[in-house]
Amino acid sequence: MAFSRTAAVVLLLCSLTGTAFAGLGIGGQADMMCQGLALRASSGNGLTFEVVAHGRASDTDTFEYAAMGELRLFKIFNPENRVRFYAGGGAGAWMSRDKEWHYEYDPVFISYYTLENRWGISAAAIFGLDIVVIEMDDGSGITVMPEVQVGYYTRQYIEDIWIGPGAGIGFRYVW
Amino acid sequence: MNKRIKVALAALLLLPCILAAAPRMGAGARVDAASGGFEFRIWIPTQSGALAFVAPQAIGIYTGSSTSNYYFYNVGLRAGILYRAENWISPFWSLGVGYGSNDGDYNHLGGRASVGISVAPFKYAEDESTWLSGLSGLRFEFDSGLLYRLNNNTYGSGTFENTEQWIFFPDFGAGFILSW
Repeated sequence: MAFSRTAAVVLLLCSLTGTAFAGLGIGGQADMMCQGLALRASSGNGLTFEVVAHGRASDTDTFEYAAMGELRLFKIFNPENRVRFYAGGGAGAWMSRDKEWHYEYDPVFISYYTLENRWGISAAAIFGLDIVVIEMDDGSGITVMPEVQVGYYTRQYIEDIWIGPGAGIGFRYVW
Repeated sequence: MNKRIKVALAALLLLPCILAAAPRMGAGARVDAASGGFEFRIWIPTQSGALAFVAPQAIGIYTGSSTSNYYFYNVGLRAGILYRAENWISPFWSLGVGYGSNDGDYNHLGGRASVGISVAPFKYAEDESTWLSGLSGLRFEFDSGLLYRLNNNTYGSGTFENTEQWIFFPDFGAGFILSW
């Protein structure tokens, strides 16, 4: 039963991806919430949903890792143009577990590490331009997306909080 | 007969079938964190118009003297599908595995799943009678995806003492292929 429910959800998501979304895209994104590989799904009226993700892990005896992800929802207001304005919002989160080395000199030099688990979240309003730089006859092409943001950010590794303006840039192959 | 020899013979017998089904082939080179090297590619058209491909790859060197020697090699295999091949920018996905050794001291086994774009800058010259039409099958490929890699370090004792696994997302791979 559990499997059939999971299968139904997967099938529903697949069908939504294939039918409800007029456009799909893949690319890269770097902004103050996340940096990583991006997947885009757009409806015919410009409503666009994107997932950005990035991660690393190694199975050393300490199992260190870092992962970050971002969800973006925005509206492209003039999707028929080559320079399109978009506005919306995004939320991101990151988690990491890394060694932090400590050094002491009293009475003799010793070094040791502790494992630091860190995490943070971010949320921001997004305003940007989706610029179609290359367009094929069938409508597929490459867009570049410079954007400005305003939001709450927790910067990775140092956990500092930043509330204020942010920026980002990305590119997408869309079809 | 040894099981590995049977598998190798079966693969060898399959090769003419694959080649016969492949109206186009190509050669090039590529590198990613799972594998790398010179690549030979077999294109297989699908009913939907997309192009499936199978691409073995390998690279290696050996140097030797009376007192020492050194070698490294890498072998890999990729398979995937290229969509919208009629365009000069086309998307593709691929799955790949690779195995390599650096003088026997440092070995790796890697696998990756990736998506990317394939750029054919001279595609426009496909129907022209200039020398550029010979380059219309040249594609530069850039891809990114999920990498899993298992590293073994011997540290000179001849045993695999230290095994380490890596997971990276996204990673990066790039290469070029000239198809004919």
